[in-house]
Amino acid sequence: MKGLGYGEGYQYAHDAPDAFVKGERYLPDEMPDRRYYRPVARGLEIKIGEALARSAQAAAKTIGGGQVMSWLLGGTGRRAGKRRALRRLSAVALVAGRLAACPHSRSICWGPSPSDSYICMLRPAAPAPTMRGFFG
Amino acid sequence: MRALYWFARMLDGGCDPHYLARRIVRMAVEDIGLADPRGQQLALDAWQTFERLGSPEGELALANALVYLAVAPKSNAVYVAYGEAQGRRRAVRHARCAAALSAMRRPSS
Repeated sequence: MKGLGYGEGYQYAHDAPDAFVKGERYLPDEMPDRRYYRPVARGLEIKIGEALARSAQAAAKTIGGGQVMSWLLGGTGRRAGKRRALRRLSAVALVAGRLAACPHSRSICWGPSPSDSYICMLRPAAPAPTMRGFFG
Repeated sequence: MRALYWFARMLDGGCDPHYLARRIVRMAVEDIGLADPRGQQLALDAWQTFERLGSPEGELALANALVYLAVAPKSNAVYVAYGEAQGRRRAVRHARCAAALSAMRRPSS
């Protein structure tokens, strides 16, 4: 498997700060980011929602310019190419449009349906939690 | 939630849910560890629920555990510590073997 290039560029999450690999998508290249799970504001899901918002904020904050450029230009994968770069550019344009479209001042706003979502990062980052995890 | 995408994709591709249940428990033990020990209980409970309930609803129990683990804090501290302890134990055993072998090779007189 390794000879075929499987696992190339794999980053072990535990080696990254806070066990969180910055800039990793964990999705096929041709697939757009999409949120399936939207926790309700009841029970344990209140805490889960807060934890998800924190990690989304961390992801938005920590992706640096260099990383964005290398990602835009096709990354380091073995199938780097023009078409992929184009797809990525269009994805970025989409996200930028969503960013501009957000009328709220919440850290992350989702539209009425999953496909109609926009991301807003106008709000300053929440103070870091004293303990990792949502049970405190 | 990327974990759910891959879960659905593997099931759609014909993967045995029992295999995924095993991998979810492995994830709780190795990657969540003592950062949230409840992850292991939940994963094992989900496995049992799946075995009793069967498909398709039983898979929802696995999805519950999967989402919980995906959001849970991660720690491989015990995994690393156990590996180090095993390595140390092996090193001690090899040293004793080497000492015994060289003692046996030594001429008696």
